[in-house]
Amino acid sequence: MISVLSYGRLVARAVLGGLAQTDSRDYSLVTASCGFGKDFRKGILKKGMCYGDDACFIARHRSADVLVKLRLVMRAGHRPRCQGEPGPSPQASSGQSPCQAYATCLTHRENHPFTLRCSPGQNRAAGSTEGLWGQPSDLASWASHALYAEVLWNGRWLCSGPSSNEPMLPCELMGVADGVGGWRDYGVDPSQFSLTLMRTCERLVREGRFTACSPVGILTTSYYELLQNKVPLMGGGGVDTFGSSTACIVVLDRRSHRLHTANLGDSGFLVVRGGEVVHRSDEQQHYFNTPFQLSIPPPEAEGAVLRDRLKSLRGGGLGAFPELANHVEGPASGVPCCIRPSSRISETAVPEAADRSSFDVQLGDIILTATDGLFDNMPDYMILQELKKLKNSNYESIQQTARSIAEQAHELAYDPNYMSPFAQFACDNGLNVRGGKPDDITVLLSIVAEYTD
Amino acid sequence: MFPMLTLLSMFYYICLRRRSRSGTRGEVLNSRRAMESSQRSLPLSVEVEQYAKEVLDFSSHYGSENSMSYTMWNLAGMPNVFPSSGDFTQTAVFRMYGTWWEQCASTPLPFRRTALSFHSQDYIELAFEEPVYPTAIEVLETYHPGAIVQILACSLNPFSQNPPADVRWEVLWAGEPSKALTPQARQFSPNIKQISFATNLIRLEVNSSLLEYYTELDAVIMRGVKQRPALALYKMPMIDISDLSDSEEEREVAEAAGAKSCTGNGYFDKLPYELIQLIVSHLTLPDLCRLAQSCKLLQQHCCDPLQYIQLSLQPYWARLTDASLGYLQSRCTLIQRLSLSWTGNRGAVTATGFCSFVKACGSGLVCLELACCHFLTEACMEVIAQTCPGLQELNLSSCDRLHPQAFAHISQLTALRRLILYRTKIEQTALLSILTFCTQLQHLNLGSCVMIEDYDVVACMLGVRCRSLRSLDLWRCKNLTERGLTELANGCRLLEELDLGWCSTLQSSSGCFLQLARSLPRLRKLFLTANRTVCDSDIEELAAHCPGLQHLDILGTRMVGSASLRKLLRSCSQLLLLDVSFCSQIDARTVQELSTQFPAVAIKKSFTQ
Repeated sequence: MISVLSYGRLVARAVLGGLAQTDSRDYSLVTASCGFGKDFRKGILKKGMCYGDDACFIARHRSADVLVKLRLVMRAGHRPRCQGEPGPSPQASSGQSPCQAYATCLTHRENHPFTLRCSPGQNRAAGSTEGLWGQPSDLASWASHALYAEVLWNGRWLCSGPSSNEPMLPCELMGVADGVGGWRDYGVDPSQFSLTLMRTCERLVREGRFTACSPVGILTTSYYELLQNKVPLMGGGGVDTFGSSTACIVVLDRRSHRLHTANLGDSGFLVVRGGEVVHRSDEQQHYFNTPFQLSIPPPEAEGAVLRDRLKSLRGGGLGAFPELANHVEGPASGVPCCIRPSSRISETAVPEAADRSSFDVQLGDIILTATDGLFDNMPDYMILQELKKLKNSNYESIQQTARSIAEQAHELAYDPNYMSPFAQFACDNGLNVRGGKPDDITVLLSIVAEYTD
Repeated sequence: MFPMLTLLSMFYYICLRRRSRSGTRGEVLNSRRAMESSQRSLPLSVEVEQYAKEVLDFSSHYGSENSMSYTMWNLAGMPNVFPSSGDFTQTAVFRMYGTWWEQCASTPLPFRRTALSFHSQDYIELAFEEPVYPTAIEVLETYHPGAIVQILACSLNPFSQNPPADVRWEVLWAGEPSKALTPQARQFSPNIKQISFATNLIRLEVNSSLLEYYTELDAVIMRGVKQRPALALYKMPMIDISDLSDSEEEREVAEAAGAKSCTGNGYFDKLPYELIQLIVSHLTLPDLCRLAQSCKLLQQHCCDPLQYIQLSLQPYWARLTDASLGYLQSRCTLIQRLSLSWTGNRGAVTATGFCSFVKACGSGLVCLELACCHFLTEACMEVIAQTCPGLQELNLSSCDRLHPQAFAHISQLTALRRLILYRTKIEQTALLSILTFCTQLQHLNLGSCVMIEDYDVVACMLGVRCRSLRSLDLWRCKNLTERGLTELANGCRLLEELDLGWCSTLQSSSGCFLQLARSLPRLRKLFLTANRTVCDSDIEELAAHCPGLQHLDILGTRMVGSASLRKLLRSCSQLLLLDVSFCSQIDARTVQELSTQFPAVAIKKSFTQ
């Protein structure tokens, strides 16, 4: 009976979806990440989401913060009594835990949707939950208000979870940042900057200090937050966070099904639908192998290597790059013939200079966000080939595809005879080079799926 | 013999039966009672644990106004740092710590007659989602804990549309300023008093004077119950100033004096008027008011305007209303120094009440402290400007709701010596006109004034007009460059205190700090916090030209080495405070060496874990 019902629902949905272009369902992203640092001494995942000098983050935003916890203190040794509903085993009917069922019953009574969710581990620990609580009236008034609930029974936290109505997650974010390797010559760890930038983005999302339609705003705010730190270094250990980074941030607005992006530098993203690239980021470079980048320059280098940061800030960023010839005598100079693995340090761009776009996505669209390590080594057709192998949208298969893309790019990067897109581009710029470009590779692969709990 | 035995055994048997029966019946009874009771109070209590939802108001913070690093807004929500400890951006940090700021010449004299039990220096007000009867307040302190001296609860629900007529504040906990032995994180959960109303507005008051460094707070948890606790044994608490400041002896004196008044005034009649005035002048304000009720003689003394030459109402912010200002009006005709800091929020004092008080008593005012007074309007400023021509000190710090136009009236106060505009919305035009007319300014605080567009213009104006300036606070001014600083240093040669913390646009490479050191030989305090460009030659120049330097902060520069610091410490013998936190060339060992070599100097090195 249930299967018939659910089948009918599916059919109806398919029909409706075919008829109406817009549907009211919420989309979400199933995202997997994979990557390789270019040198193995760092290991694959250093701390947080960091591959070599690359960093990435994946975050979901709750519209309301989880601030109120409800705690029902029961007398020790007292067994909660069953009220109304029989519930011999917790997961017996329709996969609902007793707490969930209980909350549902509250919900009906209070006419306010609210779910208490049991996490399985905690539930198992509680073991002897036979049924539901007694007098729910005082709990009910709570449940109708609380955004988050934890019910304590015999000193154990039984269930917790956001209520289903309010904290609908309205958007999902992810981003990649590529620390500019040129700073290593200054004794600066390039990964610090990118990692800190991504972490700050994540925190902004967690605190809800952003608007979904403006990923540039997220980038800007977190960049200026970096400047506000007392520590000229982050993450401790006496490593300075001077340095610079390219960055790409992708936000999916769940309700409007729109993808908002901000891209600064040569990282980027692809939106693939039906085996074709339907939308992609523009690469922003000053000139060959010198992408736009956010940076906090070390003071002694200011002026010498970079033009005054303020000037570019005041000049509105993008417009302030008239002469490129004399401005960088960075670490990459004098070695034009062999390809330097890391990009050069360039003049600081302001985050507002980021390329921005908005794009409507559909169910099943694949969004690939990656640093230049991927795009410089793998042409589009190879990426698409790999993506074709992706059949369904569960996490494991996405993870596998992401891994295989990253692995392939990694192999190509160290192939001296392979004509990589990077080498191609170098040839176009009058440099005779062959081979892949050894670089850090970060791949975030996501599929637009229907939002489910 | 045998019947005897039978009888005995029967008796014994009966006894046994009875005992056993009574025993079982007792047990049954007991268990039934237990069942009933357990059914009745099935959920013993529903306790709610919540984090702060919103930060409503605060007096100061370390962070910038348009950022989230080190700002008070970080206190809302879940903890970010706890249980780790260290100096992190994600926490709430107040602007000051220790006694370093109080030592400065720019700090005004303390008000006389301030109650000894009033310690608070800064406050923060937090709103929670659900009003509850609090059972516990937990403050997660992640760095240098111990600053909290008072926790209060308010009867007003900040999220409700119709505010109640009377707003009550109740002290949940109060203590002395303290200092933890280590800077490590701790969860501070004092025993709090039960209160008779549900609250979702909590206020923390802090005193950081004993701390070694900035205190950092991560989150506040309030636990409480929704229903009023059934135990009705606690007394109905009343908001009373006497709770804040109570000294038994003075009460006894008052009572004794009261007792004597019925038989004439005894020896009090023989004492000279001035002597009684002197005795009375040691009383705190509530005691003074109480004493005034004891007898006519003492009432005369207690209501003498000479007793109200200076008056600080800051400790009584929770109770001060328009009505109480009205009562004080007749006694304050000779008032010269008045502090209304922190008072009158949430409608307790209105702009009209304040204006009528100032009109009646303000003509002799020399000093007016109005920190965090959100009742102030443009009209108030106009009244101050018109009625207080002799005003020399004006403190408007954290009046962030005051309209920018209101500040234009300050320029009429031409006698101003000290002006605090920290965290206000003053605009450039208003400030320039103030600087044009108030040429006697000695102390000026423009910290975190976000509406000023060009600090260079302001600095040039200061250099031209305010040549007697002795202290200047430009904390977090966003665009001061070497041009403005040079003009300032050339013009204001008397400058002793200069706070250029977080002025990131100053570049040492332009030589501005060198010139600063050369042109300001009287410099005693210099804050170059988080200026990443400060270098060895700047420090050496300071060592050479500023022998009187007492406080120096060069946090966050990687270009200063230990050699130049040593030189500085040797030549500046009066140095008391040196903050070298996050200077990557100065490691903990160097700091330790220098500290043992120069024990008089507090060398600070903050850490993140």
